[in-house]
This record gives sequence, structure tokens and C-alpha cells, in this order.
Amino acid sequence: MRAFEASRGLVSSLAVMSLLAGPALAEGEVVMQDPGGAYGDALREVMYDPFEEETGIDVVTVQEARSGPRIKAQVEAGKTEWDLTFIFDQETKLLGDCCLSDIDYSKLSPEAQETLATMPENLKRPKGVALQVIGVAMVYNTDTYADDKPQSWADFWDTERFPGRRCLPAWPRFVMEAALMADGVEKSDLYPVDVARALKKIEEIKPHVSKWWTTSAQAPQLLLDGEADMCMAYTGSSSVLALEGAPLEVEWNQGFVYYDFFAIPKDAPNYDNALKLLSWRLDATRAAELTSAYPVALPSRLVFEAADPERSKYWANNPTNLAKAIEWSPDYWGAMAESGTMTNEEYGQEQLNALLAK
Amino acid sequence: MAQILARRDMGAEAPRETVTAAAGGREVIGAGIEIREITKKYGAFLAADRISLDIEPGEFITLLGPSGSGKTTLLNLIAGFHRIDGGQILVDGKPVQHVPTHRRGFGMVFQSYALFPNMTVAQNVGFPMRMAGMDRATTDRRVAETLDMMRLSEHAGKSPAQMSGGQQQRVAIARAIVMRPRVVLMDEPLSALDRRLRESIQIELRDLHQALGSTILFVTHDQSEALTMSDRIAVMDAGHIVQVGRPTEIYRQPQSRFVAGFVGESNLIEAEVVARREGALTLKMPGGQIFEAEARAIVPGRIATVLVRPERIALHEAAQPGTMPATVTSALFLGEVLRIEVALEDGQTLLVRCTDTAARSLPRIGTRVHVGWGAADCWVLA
Amino acid sequence: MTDAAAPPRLSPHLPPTRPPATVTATGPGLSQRLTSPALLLLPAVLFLAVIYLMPLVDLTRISFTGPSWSAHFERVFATPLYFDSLVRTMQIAFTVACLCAVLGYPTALLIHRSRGSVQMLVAVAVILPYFIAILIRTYAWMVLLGRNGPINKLLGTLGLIDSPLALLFNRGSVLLGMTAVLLPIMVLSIYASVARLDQSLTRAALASGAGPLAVFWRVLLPLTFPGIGAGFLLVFVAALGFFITPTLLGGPGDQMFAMHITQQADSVTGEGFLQALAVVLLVITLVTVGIAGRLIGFEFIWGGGKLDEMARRPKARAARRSRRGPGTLLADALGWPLLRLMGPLLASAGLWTVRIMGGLVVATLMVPIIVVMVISFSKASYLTFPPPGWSLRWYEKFFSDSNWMDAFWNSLGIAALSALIAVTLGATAAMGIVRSRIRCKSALMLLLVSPMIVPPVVLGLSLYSLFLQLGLVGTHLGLAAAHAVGGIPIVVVIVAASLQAVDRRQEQGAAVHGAAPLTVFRLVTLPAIAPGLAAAVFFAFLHSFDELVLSLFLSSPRMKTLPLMLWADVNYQLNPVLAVVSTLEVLLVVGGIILCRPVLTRGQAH
Repeated sequence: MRAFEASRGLVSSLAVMSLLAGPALAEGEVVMQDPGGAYGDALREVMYDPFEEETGIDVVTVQEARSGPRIKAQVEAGKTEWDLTFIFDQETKLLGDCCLSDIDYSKLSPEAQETLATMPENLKRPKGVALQVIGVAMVYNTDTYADDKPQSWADFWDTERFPGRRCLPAWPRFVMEAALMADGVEKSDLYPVDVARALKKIEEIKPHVSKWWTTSAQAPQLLLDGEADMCMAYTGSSSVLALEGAPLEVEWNQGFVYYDFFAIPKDAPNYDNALKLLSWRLDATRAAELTSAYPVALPSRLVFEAADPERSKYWANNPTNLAKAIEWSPDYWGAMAESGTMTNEEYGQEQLNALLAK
Repeated sequence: MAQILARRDMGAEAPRETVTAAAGGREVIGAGIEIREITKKYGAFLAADRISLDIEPGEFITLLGPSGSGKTTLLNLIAGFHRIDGGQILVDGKPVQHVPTHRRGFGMVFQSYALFPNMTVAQNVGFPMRMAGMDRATTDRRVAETLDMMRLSEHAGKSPAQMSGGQQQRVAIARAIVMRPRVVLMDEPLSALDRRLRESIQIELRDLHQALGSTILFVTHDQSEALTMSDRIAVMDAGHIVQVGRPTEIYRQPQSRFVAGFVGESNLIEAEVVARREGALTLKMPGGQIFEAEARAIVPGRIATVLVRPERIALHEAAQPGTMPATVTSALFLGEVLRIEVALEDGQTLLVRCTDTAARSLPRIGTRVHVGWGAADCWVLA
Repeated sequence: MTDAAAPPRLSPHLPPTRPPATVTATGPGLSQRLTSPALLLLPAVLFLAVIYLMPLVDLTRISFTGPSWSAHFERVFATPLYFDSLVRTMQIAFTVACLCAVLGYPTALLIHRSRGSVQMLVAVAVILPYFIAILIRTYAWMVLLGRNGPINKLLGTLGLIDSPLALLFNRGSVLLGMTAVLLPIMVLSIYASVARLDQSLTRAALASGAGPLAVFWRVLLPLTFPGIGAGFLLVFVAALGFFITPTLLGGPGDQMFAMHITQQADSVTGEGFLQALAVVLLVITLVTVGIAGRLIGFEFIWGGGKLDEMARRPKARAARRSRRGPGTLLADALGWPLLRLMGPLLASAGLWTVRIMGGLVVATLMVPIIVVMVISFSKASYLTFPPPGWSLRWYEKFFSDSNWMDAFWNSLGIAALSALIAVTLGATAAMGIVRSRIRCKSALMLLLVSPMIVPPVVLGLSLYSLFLQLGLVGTHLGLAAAHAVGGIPIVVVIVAASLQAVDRRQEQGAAVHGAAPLTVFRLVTLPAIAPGLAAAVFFAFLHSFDELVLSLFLSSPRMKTLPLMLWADVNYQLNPVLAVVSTLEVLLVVGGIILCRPVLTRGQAH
């Protein structure tokens, strides 16, 4: 490939030269999207460093919160850079045909096969495999609400009984569902989302929201800084802090559970290496080890059983938690909206942004 | 003009009467200014060192000096652009050193014209009137009068950028006098103009001074301009006023070598006093030549410095009584005068100026000539 | 012409081999055309055509693809979210420009009127932030206004508040941050026009009986109005495309238009609409600049250095102004009565207004930077001021963290390469602009400096697809070239200015005495513009070193630059390592300014 580029003339050859002048390219590598923060650190320590040591393949991590649009742009331009990415549930379908490679499950390691066998079929799709179960739930400061603890989104919206500042993600997903539940909608009647009703309810809480956050580390930080007393937050990063003794508690009732899928973009430069890394991460023992550093779990019984119960009580796939949580619908958010030009999620985002901007 | 020239010839006595005579027949609106020992420092540099000067009401006084002599500083101090560090400035007997510039009621003309480019000629001239809160009708009338006086009426609607340098400076003068101020300050107003224009505006300014009766304080480094225009000249050097006097006094009777050298061209001859009589000295030059000099106020020691202006030296082809032989070393034809340098036998060079007449031809270099001067042509400096 | 024809034959050093025919060639032959200075413009123009104009054209093309050609634009204007945001963006930009003008004027006057160390202090307070990355200055404001920041701490200590105030994430913090970030542009623009003013004009006004207020209203303000106008426009246009500061300091109600573009870049179905958003922002910017250029001349973009071709125009305008303009009428009707009312105020009131406001501005510009520098030595692992203790642990962390160090070296390499490209192309183009006699000079100059006004978000978006195709995404060369698009205008402006200051007679003198054109350049021109070139290198380097927005679009996994690392961390969590990076950048800038000081002071003397 390098030779091909060089033949393209001065510009490209200069590009190659400058590439060579930069960090040296390893013989083998795999480019992996990375969530960054404490989770990123844990991945590096538990997963990537031993992987590099054993296989000799360098793991190049790219910090990026959302990869969907970039994958699309890269694939369409014929310049795929990533080998392994994590995408949203709905994106395995939206991007499946245009931009993602089929995962060759037969080439995965025996350990990985073993783990996969314990996972529900829906999480092992041709274009993506669920590698982490994610929880989004209510997290509050236990100092502020020491006696009367909030237990539902209705409580979250009840600023008289639970005075204090709130923080919420600046996304339509989760927030609209929570608003509807606070407004009395039953778990089972959430979808399709009544956007107008949800927005009306969000408007009520808006004056009490100190920050509409956009990255996962922000919510716990806001809680610790005292900028907010009660937040909708990722359970993973919050529970790390709770385990370390921070005055935080996660309320799983009416929480949301969903899965991040790992996918290999079309024409990924290192497809085989990507499969190797995937196998590595699907190894149940190692996956359990990862959760002791950062509590985001692989959705497999094997991993849950191998983990420290002190930690696994925070996991989204802990049956106790799952029972309280609702099953979030990625399909709804990924479906096209009425207008036909955008997805429900994009439409909801536009509506929410408009409300927040008021 | 005749009046002025006549006055200049009146001699050394009684300057006060001179001014009264100058103002004869017209109304003097000018203010008297007393400057008492004012000092201005910039860091360690003494820009003005205990300067004192009395300016008579209605007088045209010039501050003359080389650049850096402190004349513009003094003008700026009087204008109030800078605080003085010590001393007093009195205008008509009232101290003004704490009055801000805009309340001093002066007019001022700058070397760079300093016309407001965002205003028309009429607006520029009317500016001081508007600042004084005059109503529009009065302003318009007075502006029209003043423009007429400066022969600028047809340019009233123009922007300064559209005018020539001379016209711009006349606008600036019009702006300075539109209020008929008691004092007009002029900071080298003519030095940006070419010679012809300069001379015509010099005359215009003199006439204007006569007509207005304001006190004019004029700064220049051009000695001929100072001599032409002033009632009195204050010569400045290194932050001091070194001599104040009427132009004739400054030119004919300088009090120091500096004044003698700066105002006009001069021959300064050092000579030994060999005999003294009442009002006259007999002097011997280093080369042995003997000449007579009138001695008035100053009684020198053994060595005297004598000023002989180049035009007072006569040039002869043949030796005559009291002349000394010399050789022409340079000869220039300057138009109405010839400028000739000669070397005496002892090597001392003298500058000679003589008017161009039909009989005279430009001597060749190396020609043997004889030079001489009378006792009255000498001014003994020290 | 006679000088060019002056035969070198007169020179005793003339090598006998030189063919005299080339020197005395008659008429514009081919050889003369090939040596025309206009050719020097070619490399830069080609570069910008490929890496700047073409992507923008492509961007526009994509924006028209959709169900119908106007579908995406209809959505922009029909959706309240975007339309409101557009209106809000204009409001914010206008407010910021007004604030900058009101605060910048006294500051510029203060620099002009003060002397010695006071002048030095104020000038440094304005110039230093001008060269420090917007990201870092915004971060400094986040620290300053934060819940545990110095302001809240101070108010708490004074007992004025019980619990910390929420100073961040609202319209006020956006306006404050943007004003602080853009203020130096305004101050420098106004200062240039104040310094150019003949000092005797204000004296003439004073001597004409105008009090300080009247001098200001009638003389100073009208005459420096072009400077204010230029500064106002530069700030307004920059604010229109602002992205970093409102993202970090604003709440959801302060969404600016450029932020929608980056958000839409995260949307899978955004193709076309995304480009339409960018085109709308670009068009608004260009229309604003276009109208302003018609009114006050396009010179404002590059700070007033007029080209000889343009120098003739103002004369006609002066003639038009001869009648009483609306401005004068307004000044008479509004200002005059006001001034008469304020007349009795002490003469020193104006002076103190200038001093107090100027001092306030200086504090606003310097305090955040100082606070950040102090915090970088903190012992605490979180941001708090004053620090509970001192340590160098964050410096150790920075220098031992391979990610930070990689990013640092990447930035350094890219900035050096980018400066090389920008200076090579920009300096030759400047030679071409100043020395050639071609007709479309002003249009070419406009092209060369126009990257200064194109919102970086728009440029980054347009370059992304081109770079993907060329395989330049995430390469040193790619980023360096992209940064050079913004570096070229800087170089052109600086080098053109120093070339114009070169005394042509010296060059002609050298030519008369037998120096060939290249020798003339080497022996006369180059030494004369060398300080300007050095400054251009420094500024082009810094431009690239600080660049974030283009890098956001064009970087790749393998290559992170320092600003990108900062951006990721600022969004994640404010920690003292950021303060370390900021401090190092400040030191870099200070060092650069000290190195360039001979140049800067020389410029001032002219």
C-alpha cells in the first residue's frame, strides 16, 4: 500500500515520508476505538498491554466517543483507518450494509467461542457482537439525600421533595423515556416515544438542571464537585467512584440497559488482527479481570460468575438490577422518523436542542 | 512694512516704547505673558532650565534656536500640553500653569498644519467657535470673515486633503485666529513650505499681526525668518534663553559666540588688544595685522573676540590704507550677492559678501586681493 | 526603468561572460515574462486553489445534493433550532464585537498615552494573549469561573456568598470568554489607527478650546473610526464562526451555529445537510466581509496596509465627504448637547476613565493566564485555587506520559513543516504582490488573505473529504498543509509589509553598481526583510502549533496534536496537567516574543 501511494506523485510520497518521520509503524497493529478516561486506562492495562506482549501486535487506540459517522465517511472514501470499533446497537443495522464487515466467528479463539456460547443470539450479529453491557441510571449524592432516597424518575422530577440541582445527558435517548416515566407512562408503553409529551415534561425539570452533559465522565464529576446532586449517569463510571468510597449511589430502578457492539469496518486494514483482539477480549477470565478495574461487563454468565460479587452488584447485567431496569429500545431510536430524512434519534436531538436553547 | 522697518532702525533704547509705537493706531487685544523661571525635565534631561521671559501685549516674539534647543518645549509649556515642573506662567498677570490648554484661550498653528481631516475647511475654522459654544449664526459669520481675510472663501467646502500645503497652512492660521485670541502660538508654521510660499506667508502673517493686535509667539529655527518677522527675538540654546532683543540687536550686537554664529554668517576674529582708547581698541591679529575696533559695552581682557559680518568686509584689488593682503580660496555666485572666502597670510580665513554690481566680476581662486573693514564694522564680543 | 537598463558594463567587476543582451532586451520578451515577479504568485495561488478553494466548492456542491437542490437549505431555515441558532449567533457576535470596541478603545489609548514600564505592561498584557491558543485561554476562564475557582473562593472568603455561584455555562460566561479571547484583535486594530494619528491634531483641538471630551468626540473618535470599524468587523466575523469557547463555556441555550456543524458531523444521516449548514455560515461570513469591504475597503482584513493599486481610491471618497455627512449631523445632534452637559466634569475624569477601564481590561486578559500558571504547580489532584500545596508532580506527569509527549512532538513537527510551507509559499507570493504590476492585484491579495475569515469549522469539514481521498488524513504533511492554509495569510501580510518598507532606491543602487537581480535580493532585499521573515516564521509556526478545529477534522488515531489532547481532556475533566501544558505554551510564546522583539520594536519605530 505504501508503494502504491508513492506512485501517486509528489504529494503522496511526501505524505509517506512524513509518516515515516512520525511514530514508526509497527510490523503488525490493530487500530481500536477507545472510550478514554478511567475505562481507557483499565483497557490498556488489563487488555492491550498483555495482548501486545503475547501477540506482538500493537494496539493503537483512538479516543472517540462516537464512531458511526466517521466509519461511514472513511469507508465511503475508501480509506478505512479503524480495525475495531464500538457502535450503538441501532448502528449495526444502519451501517451494516454500507460500512461494516461480516465477523468471521469461526476464526475466533476457543475461549472466545466458549463465552459466545453463553450469550443470547441477538447479541451475536453478523455485523457486530455485544462486548459490553451498559447501564444508564439515576445516581445521587448520598450526603444530600441521606434519609429520603430518590427511587424513580418521578422522584428525580420532584424538586420539592428532593430539592437540589440535577444533571442530565444532552441526548433524547434515555432522557425522553425518563421524562415519560416521570409523567406516569408505564414501562411497557414507552415506545413509540411521545416526543411532544416528553419535551413538555423535560421543560419542567430544565430550570433545575445545572449541566446537560455530553461525555460519560462529566456526570460523576459534577456530582463530586457539588455542581449537581442527582444525575442521570452511566453506571460504570459512577460505580467506580462509589466503590472508591465517594458519596454516590446508583439507583437501578427504571434504569436503562443496552449493549455496545463491536464491529469491524469494511476494508479494515488489519482484519485478522481485529479478530485476534476480539478473541482476546471475549476470553471470560480476562473480561472478568477487566471488570475489577472498571465495572463494565461482558454480557455473559461466565464473566458474571467469575467476577467479584462486591463489584458485580453494580453491573447492568446483574439479574437483580436487570429486574428493576427497563429494556431500552435501540430499534425505535434507529428507525427513520416520519419525515423520512432522519432517524428518530436525530429528530429527537433536534427537538431537544431546540428546547434546551430556549 | 515701512512702519516696521522704521521702528527697527530706532536703536537700542526703550523696547516698551517700541512696542507701543508698533501698536500705534490699532487696538491691542494681545495679552502680556510673563514666564518666570520655568523648568521642565524629561527624566534626567533638562528641556527647560529656569527660563524667564517677558512678552509685551501685542508683541510678535520669536523663539529662535537650533533643533533641540528647547524652543518647541517652551511653546508647548506655554500652550499647556505639558505640566511645568517649576516656575510660573502669567498671562495678563494671572497664573495659568494649572489651567488646562483648552481653557487658556490661545490660538495655535502647527508645523504639520494639524487640520482635522474629517472636517471641511469651514468646519475646521469654525471648530474653536463651536467649542466656545457660539451659536451657529455667529460662527458662520465669523468663519466667513476669517476665510475672506485669509483669501480662502472659495475653498470653504473643501476637505483639507484636497488643498495644497500653503492653502492648508492658511486654513490652520485662520483656525488659530478665528476667535481673535489674545495669544497665538505658532510652532514652525512655515518650515514645511517651499521658499517662495514661505516668504509670501511671512508677509501675510506680519500684516495679520498688525490687523489683529494679538500677541504672537512664533517658533522657528530659520534665522532669516526670525529677523524678518519679529518685534523681538529670543535666541535659545540647550534649554536656556541666551539673548533677547530686537532683530537688529540680535544681528548686530550678539552677546555670545553662539548667537553670533547662529544668526547670520559671521567672521569671529581673535586678536590681541594692543591699545585702548575711549570707545575704541587697537587690535593685533595673530598674523601681525593691526586693525581698529569700536568697543561699546564690553571691555575685553588681553585677547578680544571680534565679530565682523561678511558684508561689512570690503574687497579691493589693490592695497589701500588699513587693508590686508589675502588670497581667494573660494568664490560663489549666489545671485544678488557674491560669496567669497579668502585666506589671510597667516592662514586665517575670512568670509566676504559683496553685492553683485555691473563692475564686479567673480574673482578666480588664487587671486591676490586686499580686504579691510572700518572700526564701526566690528563688534567686540569678549 | 532607466535603472533596470543601466548597463552593468560600467561595473569593473562585470564578468566578461555575461551576455549584455539579456539586460538590455527590448520589449517584454519571453525571458522577461518568465522572470516577471507576478510568477512568484503562482505557487501560493495553486496551493490555495487545491487545498482551499476546491474543497469549498465541493462542499457547496454536496450541500445542493438531496431530494431537491434546496432541500437541505430549507431544513436549515425552517427548523427553529437552526434558524434560532443563526439569529443567536449573530446576536452573540454583535454583542461581543460591541463589548470589544467599548473595552478595547480605552486600552488602545492607554497603550498609546502611557510611557515606560506602564506602556510595556499594557502592551504585553494585550499582545501575549493574542498569541496564546484560544483553547488555553478558554480553559483558563473555566478555571477562573469554576465552582472552586479563585472568584468563588474570593467571594466566599469575603463572606459575600454562602455557596459558590454558578458562573459557568451561561450566556454571560460565553460573552465574557469570547470578549476576552477576541479583545486583543480589537485593541491592536484600534491602536494601529490611534498611533497613526498625527499627535498635533489632538493638540490643535485642545488649543482650539476643545476639552478632553470634545477632543475625543470630535477628533479622536471620528479619525480612529476606521480602526474601530476594522476591529469590529474582524471580531464580528471571527465570532460568527466561533466554536471552542461557546462549547466549553456555554450552556445548552448558548448553542452557536458552528457547534451544530460539529454536532451534525456526528450524525449518520447528516450528509448534505451538514454541508448546507457550513455553506450558510460561510455565505453569511462572506457577505458580511463583502459589504464591509465595499464600505471601508478590504484592507481591514490585513490591517490597513494599502497596496499602491488601492491607494488612489480614498481621494474620491474624501471629495464626497465635503458636504455635511450624516455622521456629522448625528454628532452635532446627539453628541454635542451631551458634551455640554458633561463639560463641567473634571478634565482628569476622562484620563481616569481610560486608566480604570484599561486597567480592568489588562487584568481581565492577564489574570486567567496567571491563575493557570500558578495552578500548574499545585499539589492537589483537582483544580482548586489557591493550591493547597506546591509540587512539580504535574510537570513530571506531563513529561513522563508518552501520550502527551507524542502529541507534543507531533505538534512540534507539524508546526515546523507547516511554517516551512506557509513561509515558502507566502513569502514568494508577497514578493509577487508587492513587486509585480499586474492588474488583478487586489483580487489576488484578497484570495491570499481570505483564509483568515473563513470559519475554521467550515474549512475543516471541506478539507476532510479531500484529505480522505488523498490519503492525507492523520499525516503530518496533511495537517501541516491544512494549517498552512491559515498560515499563508499571516506570512503574506507580514512579509508584504516589510517589503513595502524596503527602500527601492537601495535595490536600484545595487543594480546600478552591477548586481544581478538575485544578488540584489540576497544582498539588499533579504537582509532588509529578514526580521519580517523571522516574525512570519514564528507566527506561522504558532498558528499551526495552536490549531485545534482543523485538526479535529483531520487527525487520526496514530496522530494526536497537543491541542487535540487538551481538547479531549478539557471535555473530560479539568486537571492540572492542562495547566502545565498551558504554562509551557505561555513560555513558548514569551520566548518567541523575546526573540522577535527586535522586529516588533522596529515595526513600532516606523
